[in-house]
Amino acid sequence: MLEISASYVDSLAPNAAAIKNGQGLVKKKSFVQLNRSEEGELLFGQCSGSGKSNYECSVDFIIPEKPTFRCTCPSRQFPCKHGLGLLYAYTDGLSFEVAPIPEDIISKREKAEKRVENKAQKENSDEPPKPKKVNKTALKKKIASQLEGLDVLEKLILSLIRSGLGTIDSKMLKAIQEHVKQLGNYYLSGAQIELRRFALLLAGGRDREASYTYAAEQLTRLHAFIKKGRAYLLSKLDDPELALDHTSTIEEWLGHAWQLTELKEFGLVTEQAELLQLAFYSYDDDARQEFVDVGYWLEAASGEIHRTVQYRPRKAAKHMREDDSFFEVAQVPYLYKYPGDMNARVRFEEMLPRAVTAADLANVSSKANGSYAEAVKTVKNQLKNPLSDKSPVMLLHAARVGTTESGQFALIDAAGGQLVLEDISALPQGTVSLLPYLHNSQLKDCCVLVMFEHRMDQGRLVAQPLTIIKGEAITRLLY
Amino acid sequence: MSTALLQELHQEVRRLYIAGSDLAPGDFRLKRLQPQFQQLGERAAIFKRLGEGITALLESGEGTGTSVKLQELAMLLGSVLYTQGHTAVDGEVLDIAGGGIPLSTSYSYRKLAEVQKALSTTGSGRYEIVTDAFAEGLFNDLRLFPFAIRALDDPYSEMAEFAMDKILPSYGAAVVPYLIQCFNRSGGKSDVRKLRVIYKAGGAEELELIYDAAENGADEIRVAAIECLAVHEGYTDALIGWTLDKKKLIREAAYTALAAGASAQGIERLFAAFSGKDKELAAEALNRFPSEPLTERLIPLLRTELDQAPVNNKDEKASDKAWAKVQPFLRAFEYVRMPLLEALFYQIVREADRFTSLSWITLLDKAAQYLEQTNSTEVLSLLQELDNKNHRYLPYSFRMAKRLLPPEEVYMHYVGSTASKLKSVVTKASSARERQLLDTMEYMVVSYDYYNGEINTAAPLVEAWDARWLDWLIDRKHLELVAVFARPGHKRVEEFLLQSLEEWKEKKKSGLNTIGEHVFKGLEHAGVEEARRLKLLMEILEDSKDRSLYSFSVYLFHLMFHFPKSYADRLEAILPSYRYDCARQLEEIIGLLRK
Repeated sequence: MLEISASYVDSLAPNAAAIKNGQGLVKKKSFVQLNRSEEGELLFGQCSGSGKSNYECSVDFIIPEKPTFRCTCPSRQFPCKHGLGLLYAYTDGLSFEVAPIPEDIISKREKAEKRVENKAQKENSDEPPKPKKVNKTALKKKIASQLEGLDVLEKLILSLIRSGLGTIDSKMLKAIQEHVKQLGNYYLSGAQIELRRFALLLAGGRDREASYTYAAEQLTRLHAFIKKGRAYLLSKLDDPELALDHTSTIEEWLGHAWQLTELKEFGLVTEQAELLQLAFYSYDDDARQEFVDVGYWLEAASGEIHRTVQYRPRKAAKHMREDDSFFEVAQVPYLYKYPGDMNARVRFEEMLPRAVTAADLANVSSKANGSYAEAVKTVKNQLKNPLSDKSPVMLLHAARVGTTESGQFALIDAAGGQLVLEDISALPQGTVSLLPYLHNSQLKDCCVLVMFEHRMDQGRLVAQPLTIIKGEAITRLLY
Repeated sequence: MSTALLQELHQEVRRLYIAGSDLAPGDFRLKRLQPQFQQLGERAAIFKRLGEGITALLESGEGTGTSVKLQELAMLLGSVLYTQGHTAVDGEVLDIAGGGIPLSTSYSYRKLAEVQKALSTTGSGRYEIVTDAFAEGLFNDLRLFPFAIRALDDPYSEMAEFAMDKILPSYGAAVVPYLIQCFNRSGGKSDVRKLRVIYKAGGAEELELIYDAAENGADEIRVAAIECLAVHEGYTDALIGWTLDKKKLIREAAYTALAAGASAQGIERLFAAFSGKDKELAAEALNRFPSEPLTERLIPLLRTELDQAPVNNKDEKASDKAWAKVQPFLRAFEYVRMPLLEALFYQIVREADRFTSLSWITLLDKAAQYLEQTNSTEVLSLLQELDNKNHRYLPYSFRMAKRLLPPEEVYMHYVGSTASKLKSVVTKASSARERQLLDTMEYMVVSYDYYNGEINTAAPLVEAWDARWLDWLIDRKHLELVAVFARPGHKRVEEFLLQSLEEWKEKKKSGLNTIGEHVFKGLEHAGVEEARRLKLLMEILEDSKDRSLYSFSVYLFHLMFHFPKSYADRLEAILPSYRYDCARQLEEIIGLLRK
């Protein structure tokens, strides 16, 4: 028998409205017929809609990690509300009559099987996979263009610095935006985003004085990128056969979008990983002009905190699945890791959920870092690299979470080490103000997932709490 | 490592980024730092490198060199500073006080974000999101708790009130400490709301705080706090004290609270107020919270005032003054019903002549209004006597008679008796009286829904009213009422309705909805078969062509749905003569007929 929870169904939905609509169909009793196959791996039924005839929808769990939704409705949303409704009807405990699997689903299954077989055959065939042909002239041309782009970028930045940030007016900002557009022609989408981020820092409506520090820092970052990028590209120009750099984030900075097959080639895959999401948030990134869904996950075996990132371009956001908080353990057959430092980005295509057990939470506690001195050292080590991620996330153990008379919040480790808790600019939502609402017992001998931020002007390193784990209770302060 | 020095350098570098690196060569403030770095450089390599960076920048020539050197220095300095962040707190770390609030964090981002956005932005559709979320139980999530508290400040007052009445009280007493934390007794509207929630959720536990707010808060807060203290006996003395406050607002609240609490002492104070300057305030309080025992004690006072009133209106000032004394009593008695009061009003009506000469019409209105609700025929005859004197009071007696007497007696009394008289002499007074009667009847049986352009008629009329009314109404050509009273098998009614329609057609051609509504409803009541009515309606539509009409009334529009299919072409032909919604309605009908 199929075992799924309502929250798992929620996670399959493309957005909150789809959840509501799916549940609405069950509430309104729109399902005329509910069936399941003999083995229970296939749910199918008929749902009345605005059309003349009922929609026939089905959800096939023949590959449990990757349920297949099928429906005859014309909706562009996928999965549509009918498929989701069918699953909600199931989790609500409605009775599904056993019926033979419909003909068309059998044939569709066969086709899908054949596709998988063909693919497997290709992979397993004796002849070694053809090495990807690299068009050397094209590649050289691309690299030359990228180098040219770096020159353009450098020239702009240096001239900006010579005349000073104080002289940047709306006319200048327009000119910078023009450069942002130009960089697109030089295959430098990563640099393009960072330059736009710089321009946004100085855009109208912001407190300039407060932005200058960040703007200056952004310029230094771009400087570091230009230096490193140029050296890398030059070495590649010498040897076009040189493989992608899978040890640092330079490829991403240059605008490379890693493909899972590439990651696999470099051995950046873990098989049979188990992940528990500890925090999630989503924000609208003006510099990327995309919505970004970010999840922080603990990998059970290694104890590493990974990050899932989904970009949803504003224009396509309507048709893309919006990521969400996930409350179960994700059993992932293949976990792909991107190059990076702490909280490297991960991706997985297939996943099987299972309920969180006490053992999972005990494991979380055992993976928490108990010494802040050590944790801070690791963090600082990452921060000092100009191109690194400036807001690393860590799971810390806290002897207690307390407050000072002035209202500052702090984590204290077993050895008395301290860490100030404050809301940071990298996150869209504050959390420390929630701490006083928690029961005292939750704030002692607990694990806290925090995101760090270095306050350049004050010379302080602070952290924002994202989630508190105490015993069997996970309190998500963010999402 | 000297962090202060590094910070100082950071500030200088930041300054040069803002002012421009072209100013860096020879910059004296940068120059001043240089020796210190050189000195420290002898011990730590990193300071040496920074010192070299400073030198390079100071000595960089014209051109882009300055900016490159500044970038290099900033990059190196940044890396160093990133390793120098303090993590220490600013004092002794204490435990976080408070028992917490027992809420979970089990809802997902997608569900929470929508509500958080609704409660932190402005715009339409927010209220619905929040009420739905509340119904779904989303506010049991910790992360919405601060948003719920902040909702008390929401610029959309309905949202703030929903938070006050529903969301926050649902947390129970646990919410109280957090509200107290942010409660400001000198604050404004949102603090009033906080106070109300504190009282609602905290109850008797928080009376001291509420008392303090009532004593020392801003006016708005004091009023709300006084209201909260109304039913708590221990605070009666305090409430009595506030009735002596300098501010009228506070006295008003105090009197209202005393009336609501209805304690013996409170009643005594209200009674006393009736002989003081706060008569009106006490009267308003009693209007909201009527009190029988107090009414009983106030009736003799009113009686005395009435007895002492001037005999006529000669001295207008004196009579106005007397009236001002009487008015608060009437206000205080408005919602009380008791035999003593009935006796008082009965007596007032009996002395109608005296009060009429004082032009205290309102007094008689109030009395008649009260008496109308009683069930005694004796009272009815008194009221009928009153309306004989002045038709203004006819509605009271007529409604009462309608309620108490059999239909034929009502007809006989109000029409039968006057009808014969009317035939002979039509005086000004009698026609005004007739008008009054018709108006009263119209109020009783017809209600207008101006918003939807609908006219509702009260049914069933056949048993409730005497059959002779219809003829009487036709005689008076009262179309609205004839339409309501029309019944099948009455020959004159059909004639009259058709006649009315003809007259309308000849005269002006606007107001199609009103005439149509009356005539066609009347015809329906009169039992005229549908086919004929529809034919008539079609003719009217063809004849009217009222280009100023915005839309057909619901009744007429619904009638059109019954048109035979053959009318489609005729409707099409007149379509250009109608505009706005009318045209759309006709198109819809045409579409339906052709389907």
